[in-house]
Amino acid sequence: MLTNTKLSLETTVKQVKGNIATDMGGETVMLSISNGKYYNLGEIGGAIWDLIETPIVVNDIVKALMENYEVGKKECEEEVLSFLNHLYTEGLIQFS
Amino acid sequence: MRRQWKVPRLEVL
Repeated sequence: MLTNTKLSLETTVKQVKGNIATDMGGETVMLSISNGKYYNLGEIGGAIWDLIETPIVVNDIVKALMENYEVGKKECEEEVLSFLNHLYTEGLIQFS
Repeated sequence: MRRQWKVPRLEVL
């Protein structure tokens, strides 16, 4: 498991390749080939996962989510950063 | 119309 590094709204993130994700009843479930774990990303997590298929700045993820969901900017920023940090500690995303 | 927000969480299954 990786330790937290500094993730900010200006950080560019993208998926680590080698994960199999599928929709199950509106939630995204994923198998990590590298660590053998199954994950449930939920509905919003699945939306974020789709957005980071190609490199994207965290700020742009927040903007895209705010267009589609009833959420304030500060709340969205904090919760997206927390979620991305969790993905990073599981080795599922990379920063650049 | 915007959808209801839920806190994004990563669950290990």
